[in-house]
Amino acid sequence: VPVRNYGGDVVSLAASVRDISARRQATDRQALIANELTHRLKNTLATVQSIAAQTLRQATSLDGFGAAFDSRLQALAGSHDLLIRAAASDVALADLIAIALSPYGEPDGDRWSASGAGVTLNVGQVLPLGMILHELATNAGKYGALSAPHGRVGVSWKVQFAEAGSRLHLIWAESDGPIVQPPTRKGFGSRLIADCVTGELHGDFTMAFNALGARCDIDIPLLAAGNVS
Amino acid sequence: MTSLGIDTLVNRQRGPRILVVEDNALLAMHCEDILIQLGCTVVKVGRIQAGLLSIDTQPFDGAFLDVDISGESILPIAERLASRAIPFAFVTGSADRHVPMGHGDHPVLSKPLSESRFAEVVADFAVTMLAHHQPADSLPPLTYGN
Repeated sequence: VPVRNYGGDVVSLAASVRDISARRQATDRQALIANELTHRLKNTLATVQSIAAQTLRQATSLDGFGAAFDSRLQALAGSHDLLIRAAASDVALADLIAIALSPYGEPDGDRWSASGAGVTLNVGQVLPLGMILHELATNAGKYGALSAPHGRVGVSWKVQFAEAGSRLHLIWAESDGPIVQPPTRKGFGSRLIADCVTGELHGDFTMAFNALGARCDIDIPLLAAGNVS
Repeated sequence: MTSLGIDTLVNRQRGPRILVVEDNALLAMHCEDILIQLGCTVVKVGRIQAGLLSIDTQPFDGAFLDVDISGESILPIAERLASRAIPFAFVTGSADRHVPMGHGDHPVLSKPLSESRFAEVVADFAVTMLAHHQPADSLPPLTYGN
């Protein structure tokens, strides 16, 4: 680019190659970020759409739909908060559990406890596991231990180290609640737990409606980015 | 899309068998619900390997493929389906609607999902399958490893 003095004479040529390439890189990066943002936004919209459609299918009244949809949306937002607040792949399992059970007080209070080694989750595990914990907490609050004044939920977990990769074994155990009646139909919650565990977290689970308290065992691989401290 | 496709779906005793490859469980559930309402039988998988195994061991009339499966390309699935002449469509949240190389002629559905687009594409699957094959439910079962 020619640089001219006030008279219009070219006094020097500015080397602007680096300048342009830096700008182009910045533009490329912006385009990349914009594309990634759109991708995530549309995935999130599709997730909300799915939650709305399935909550609607199950709802028996408009008020019921509103309350259930609101609570699921809050759970999704809570998981997103954790993802944004924590550095990538640095979400603690204990924090995710605390969010799901936050309507029932502090950890190790009267209503619930959480115990296990420090485990951080892979970014991809946070949303499905957050939704699973929310559905378990919702069920406990509606029909299970947390629906009765003295009922409790104990969440405990351990990590099993193996050559094929570490696995997380998590137990959700309810006690001191009402006598448990197994559900008569498979609702959104149990379907979500089944699909998230097997389809997205690539693990196994069992759900048992013992008379003295419901219990859910979840066994999932901890991916490379997740780790144990 | 055509009345032939829709009539075919309605008249068949069991609806088309559709494979859904999607790593987000909530989205897979929604796809499944939409397809079941359209009369389909649905098999969902969240991993490339599981998808390939399904295609090798079960008959399908069509498939819906998320373009990005946990950072892996959907390409191996698209190629396996193409080699068996099973029609398929892509589902993507990407702004540029980018699909794997060489498969640009397949339908692309964007997220959030449109039920009417699913209906159109399923009807097109039926037309394609009728034009080229027997429907999946009249095929003898494939044996493992074929």
